[in-house]
Amino acid sequence: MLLQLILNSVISGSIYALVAIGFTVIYRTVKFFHFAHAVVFTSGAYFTFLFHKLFGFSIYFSIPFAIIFALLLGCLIEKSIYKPLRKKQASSMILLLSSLGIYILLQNLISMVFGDDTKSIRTGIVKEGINIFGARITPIQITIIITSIIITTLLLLFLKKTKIGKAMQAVANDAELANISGINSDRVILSAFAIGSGLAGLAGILVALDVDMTPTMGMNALMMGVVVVIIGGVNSIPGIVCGALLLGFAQNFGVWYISSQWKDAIAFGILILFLLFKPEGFFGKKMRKVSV
Amino acid sequence: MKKSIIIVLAGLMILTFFIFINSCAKKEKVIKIGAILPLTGGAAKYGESAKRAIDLAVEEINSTGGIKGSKIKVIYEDDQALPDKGVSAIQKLITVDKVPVVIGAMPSSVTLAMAPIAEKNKVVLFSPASSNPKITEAGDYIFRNDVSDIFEGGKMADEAWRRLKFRKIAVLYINNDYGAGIKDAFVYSFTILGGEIVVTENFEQGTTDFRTQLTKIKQDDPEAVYIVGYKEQIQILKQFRELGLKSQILATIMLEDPEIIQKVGDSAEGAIYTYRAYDPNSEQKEIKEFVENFKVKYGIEPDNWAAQCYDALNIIALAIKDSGYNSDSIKKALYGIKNFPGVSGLTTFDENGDVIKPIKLKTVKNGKFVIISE
Repeated sequence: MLLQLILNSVISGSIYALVAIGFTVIYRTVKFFHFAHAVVFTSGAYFTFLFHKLFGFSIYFSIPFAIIFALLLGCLIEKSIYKPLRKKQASSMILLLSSLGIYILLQNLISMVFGDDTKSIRTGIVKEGINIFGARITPIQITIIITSIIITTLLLLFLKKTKIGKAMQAVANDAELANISGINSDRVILSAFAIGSGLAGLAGILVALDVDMTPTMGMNALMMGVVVVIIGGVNSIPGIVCGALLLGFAQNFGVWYISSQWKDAIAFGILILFLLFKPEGFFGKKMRKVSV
Repeated sequence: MKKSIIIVLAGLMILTFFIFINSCAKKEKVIKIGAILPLTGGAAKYGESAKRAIDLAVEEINSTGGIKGSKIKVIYEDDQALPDKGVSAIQKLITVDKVPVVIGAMPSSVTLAMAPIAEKNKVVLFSPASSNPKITEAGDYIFRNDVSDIFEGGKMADEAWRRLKFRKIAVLYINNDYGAGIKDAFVYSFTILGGEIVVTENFEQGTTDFRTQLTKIKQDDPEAVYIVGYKEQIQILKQFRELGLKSQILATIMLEDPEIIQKVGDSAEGAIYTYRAYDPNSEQKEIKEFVENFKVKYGIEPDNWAAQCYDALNIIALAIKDSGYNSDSIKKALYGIKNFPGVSGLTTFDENGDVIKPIKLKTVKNGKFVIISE
């Protein structure tokens, strides 16, 4: 049973990590709370549902296309709303409110088009999970874990090795300075939205394959994702992965030893502890003030 | 000058006279009944079904001359299944429309929030679908046409012990008034009978991950698991199977939902659950007519909530007909109703305003809902 408990924790942690990494790629470049990320996450699942169940395309075709559509949705939001607002020198508060507006609008649009009930991409047949030393895991859950390992590694390489990745780091550190040194920050922000939204779409699809979808699924996922980002530290991908696992383990062991009412309380309890004692995140170092 | 004043005064007098006559006539002609239902939001599906049934009942009564010649008019308000919306809705119905009786609400939480207001204003509140045990004590003017969870949980405990011969049972319930109410009733009755509750686990409404709760239950290896929840049951049943649990599934009326069966396939196969007395396939004359008329009007088969709402309006109409159109006489008449032949079962009210109706046992067989015992 301990193995099962560890597996349950790793599954939760992998999902948290996927959502958190997508969110942080965007957050670190634009520095405001992109609420609409939640609806991009949801859209991935619903695009897959649309292509696969309503249009009848194969699932292997529907998933990549749904990811592309989620990616485009993210870019569209940036291009049509955030960018014009940024040009008008809008504060983070205004951007945050506008993103909340987009979230509400699009979430209701999904409700209107697809209905509020649970939709699923999978077939109605439920099989027993694969038996690993008495613990059970389903193929889709294995996929979730493997995908989040691959995605994390790829993203780390991307940020470290490619030109646009390095430019994203630069904009994350100081947008103005990056601009002065010839980096087109608008383009960098757009690519951050593309990558982050694609990841969100992918995460949404994986979650929906496991536990189905509702129009409000994104907000719950985003809440935990944001807790993970704060625990892990905005600028550290390994930190976020550790934060996600910590949260997954703490919640599942909390349910095991205490009670399930405490699941969210544990998450936010950890959040408060980190904010109090380690606000710079898992691997973050204390910043020293530097005067130039 | 004087003459013109007299003419104006006379005119005014005539006018007031006509308004008075008119308002008297109106009062005679229309019997207003309030109804607070979730017409939008997540529970709109239930609200719509309820409204259709009430409309059908009103139509039938009005087409046969109404109540002693007066037509019934139902004033609908939307509560979105939210307590605060319900409170403003009932305040509006009491102060603006001045109705003596209100049908509503469907969710227990909304009914419980509205009850003190109805009680204070001496307005009869008749819930067609709230099952929380707390409503029993909600007040003198509060009635309901849905069996209290005490009875449902108690019935399941009884059947699990006597008929199914289970001795070790785990409970997995939704952490709200509804879930806790049923769980308490079940645990109480089952332990009194001598059974053992090996573990009780809960979950928050709308969550999708039940693996750790189910893992905990699996470790204790109960003969049966009693599951109390709404749509969460889809994920619970799926993960139940995925984690390789083998215990018998026991559930509540909320399991009878084609959507759940469609989403979990044969994972729900063999699950046993309690259900209200309503049976759309019954051969009884009243039920047959109701199902027929509902189908003709709306194109679908009425569900249990529709049946209970249909009865609710008919019972209120009967009370008004027997003892008059004011809240105190309606209240008195409702307490006196015994063995009313409703489409949702033989209906009697006890001294708390709780309905007493039979509960039956059903199971899922080849993806269909089948009755085990009446």
